[in-house]
Amino acid sequence: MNKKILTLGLSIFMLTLFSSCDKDPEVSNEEELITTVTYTLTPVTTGEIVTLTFKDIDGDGGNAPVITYTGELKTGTTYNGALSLLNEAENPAENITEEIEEEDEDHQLFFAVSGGAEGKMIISYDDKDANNQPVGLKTKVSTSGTGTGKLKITLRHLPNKTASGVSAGNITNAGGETDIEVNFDIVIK
Amino acid sequence: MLSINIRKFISFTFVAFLYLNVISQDCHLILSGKVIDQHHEENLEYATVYIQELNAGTVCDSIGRFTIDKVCPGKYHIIVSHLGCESKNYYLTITENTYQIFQLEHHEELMDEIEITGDGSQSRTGLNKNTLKKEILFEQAGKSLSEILTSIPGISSLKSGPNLSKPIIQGMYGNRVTILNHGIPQEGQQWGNDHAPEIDPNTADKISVYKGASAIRFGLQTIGGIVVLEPEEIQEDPHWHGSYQSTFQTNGLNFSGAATIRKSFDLAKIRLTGGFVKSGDKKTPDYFLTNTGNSDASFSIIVSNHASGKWKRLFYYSYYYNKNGILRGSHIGNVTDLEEAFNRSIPFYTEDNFSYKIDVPRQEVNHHLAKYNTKYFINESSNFNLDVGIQVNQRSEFDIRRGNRNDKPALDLNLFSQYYDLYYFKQSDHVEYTAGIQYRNANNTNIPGTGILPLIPDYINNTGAGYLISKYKLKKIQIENGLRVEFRNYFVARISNNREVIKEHINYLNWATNFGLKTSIFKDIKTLVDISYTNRPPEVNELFSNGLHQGVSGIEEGNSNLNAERSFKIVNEWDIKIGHSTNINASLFYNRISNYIYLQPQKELRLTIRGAFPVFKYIGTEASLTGGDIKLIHNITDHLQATSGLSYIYARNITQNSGLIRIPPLNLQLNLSYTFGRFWKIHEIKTVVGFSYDAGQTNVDLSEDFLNPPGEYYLINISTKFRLKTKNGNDIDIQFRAENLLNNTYRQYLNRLRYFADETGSNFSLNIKSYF
Repeated sequence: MNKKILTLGLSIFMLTLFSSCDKDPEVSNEEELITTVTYTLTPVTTGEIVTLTFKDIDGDGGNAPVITYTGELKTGTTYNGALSLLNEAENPAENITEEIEEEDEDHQLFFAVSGGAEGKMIISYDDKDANNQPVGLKTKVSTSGTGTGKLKITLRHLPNKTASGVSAGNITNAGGETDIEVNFDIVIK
Repeated sequence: MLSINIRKFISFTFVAFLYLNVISQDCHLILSGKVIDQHHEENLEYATVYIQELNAGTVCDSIGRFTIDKVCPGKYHIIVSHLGCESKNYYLTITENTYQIFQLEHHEELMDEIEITGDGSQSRTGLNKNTLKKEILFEQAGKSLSEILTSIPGISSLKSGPNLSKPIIQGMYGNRVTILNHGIPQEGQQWGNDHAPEIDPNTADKISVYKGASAIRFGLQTIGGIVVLEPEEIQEDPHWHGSYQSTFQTNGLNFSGAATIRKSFDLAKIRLTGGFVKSGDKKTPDYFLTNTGNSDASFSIIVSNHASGKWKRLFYYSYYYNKNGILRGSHIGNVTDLEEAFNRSIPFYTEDNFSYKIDVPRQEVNHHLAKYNTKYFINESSNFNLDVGIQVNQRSEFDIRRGNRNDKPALDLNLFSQYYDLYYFKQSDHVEYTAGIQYRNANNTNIPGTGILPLIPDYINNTGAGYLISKYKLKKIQIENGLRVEFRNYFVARISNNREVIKEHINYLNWATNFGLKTSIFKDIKTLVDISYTNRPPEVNELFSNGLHQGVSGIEEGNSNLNAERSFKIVNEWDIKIGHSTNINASLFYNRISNYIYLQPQKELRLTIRGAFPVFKYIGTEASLTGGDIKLIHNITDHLQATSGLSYIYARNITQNSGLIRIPPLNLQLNLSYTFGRFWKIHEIKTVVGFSYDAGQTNVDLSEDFLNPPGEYYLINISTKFRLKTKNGNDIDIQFRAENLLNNTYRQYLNRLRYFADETGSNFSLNIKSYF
């Protein structure tokens, strides 16, 4: 009897010992990754399109992100602002903007201009979610005066859109989690 | 008519005959004996010995002797109790005049003796242990394992909200503390500061802590110490006996229940336990902690054979399930969010109403442990012992995610582990030897489908070790020394930043040794010195974790060049008795750790699309910890007892010339308890008023934390409990407990929740335990 138990025990031991000597982890896609933020400013009438891009293809860590700025921001101009989000780690690139549009009640973008450009670049919401609250994928931008400063774009997931000042674009009482937070150097000429 | 009378007559004579037959049995047997204290072998005066079947009993005399006469031959359940001791049930077969010595244990034994007479099956170490027995466990019912342990001076807990906590022993936690669950080192994801041990404390009959690294039989992760959960020996009683305990707590509207039953069959002895917890949102004095509910379930079984013959076998299986909500307002996306959260008086997403709902973020854990122990007695003084333990640990963590991904775990791990330990034990009059070999295997797998790159890679950890422990008993001195040599191989398959699988092997050869000496200076002064040197190899998280750790708002980077941690610890414990009324226990220690591995914040801020994050890297530093904990028990009168506990650690990060991160601040506990014998059917009434003070940590490097440590606070707790005696001997214990009676608002340094919310406010509990 004891011999039997011993043999059984030993064979289970051997089995477990040698059954798992290699590992092949599956490299899964990073589904919620946002690699690219593009803010495109198209003049309402005529003029040069301004594009601000923040791109970090390999996600957190690895190579540093690349920030580009094309075109010239002109004073006294009204622009249509369009924000697009991509996951370019996938091939073909995944359009995250659509995901935000589908869950627009749960998201809001915030735009903050600081430095010498403060007060000279007014950004207002130009879209609404189902609850008649702003989202920020579409904006109206109007410039006045000249200066150099920073534009900070923040995307919040599950903000409290009804908190004081939030629907007007003030992030202070918004809460929620930050999904993106990027800074661009801007020059208004 | 006549026939009826005849029948009556016949039945009458038959009954009378039976009756005569019974009394003609020798019902003049005498059960006599003595009731003594198990540890000091002192006689216990006025203890009660009660025979359940006869509904009769007696009280011992002033030196613990008792005599019960006119006992018929038979089998009896005997309950032995003494004020200040845990009652014990015995099962006796009486066929002749019997002399029996009953042993009882005191409720609150300060420190147990070294288990020198043990047969090596238990966690043997040169250090004293602090044990919480059933009585104390009853008083702490409804709390988690590490909260229960904090009633021992020198033990604190590292928390992540009201439900998740892990024990800290003299400043050490996580990879430096081993939890021995019914003889098997617990294998979970202990690297995470927010990962609580996956154990239901109700599966243990007693829980002990050894402060120090001497338990070298159980590995190198014992620098801080070892927590031991053990069952009691199952009595040789052929009936089902057990207890049922239910607890209700007002904070969180928490219901919990735990049952234990045991029986001795012809073939084997069995013990079964089961338990559950259901709790909703906890509450601070001012607001609910939304999404801090939890639910637990557990089950365990022990089957052991009768300890006769050459073989002793024991099988144990336990299952533990736990679902824990994490404060909704503590989930943050980046450092800006964290800073905003600091400045809130009430956390984001706080609901006005209580709820049992457990939403995201949350953790779900399943833990299985199966153990087989067999012992072969070669002769009275030597034996072989084999322990086999298999564990499966499944951990899923759910987060707030975009695109209906909340039901998809963000972290999904499966850890399968095996433990084999074989030793040979031999003892002679003055010497004991234990020589053993051990093999451990842990296989960690990230279950695909999370859609997130794993923080911890897939790995296999193979560890082989040999150890030798010897003990010498001289006249007044006991000496112990041990040596362990351990070889470890990690096979790691990790995913690099550019999504390639990199496989590598890393090997470590390490060793540990300890030397312990215990002596009685006088009869009432015992002291013990334990010196240990331990090399702890880095764990996989320290080597290879990689990525954004949402919980700490930082990017964590492992360091594959890390060497082993080298710890030198000297512990000096004192057990001093002053007269009959005062007892002092002290544990003083100095711990010098070379290459102390911790997550150090780097100067670099790394830019990501979610903003800039601080980078934390695992590095080794030179550290020293000096401290001690003292417990003083003073019996002011026979009924009134004062207990005080003080613990303090002065810890330095020598390389940085600053304080060391995450060290518990000075803590003081004062308790006054009043016990009186009986009032009507109510026995053993004990009322405790407790005061606890936490000084706040000031010895820290402020640049290593997001927020300065919170300040001092104090709490007042009261409790009263009593035992309701019933006619059939099935007692009922009842306890009322109030914690944070004054509903104080405070924050704790070692709770991550402090960044977001206050600690829980007052909590009132009702706790009922019935025995059968």
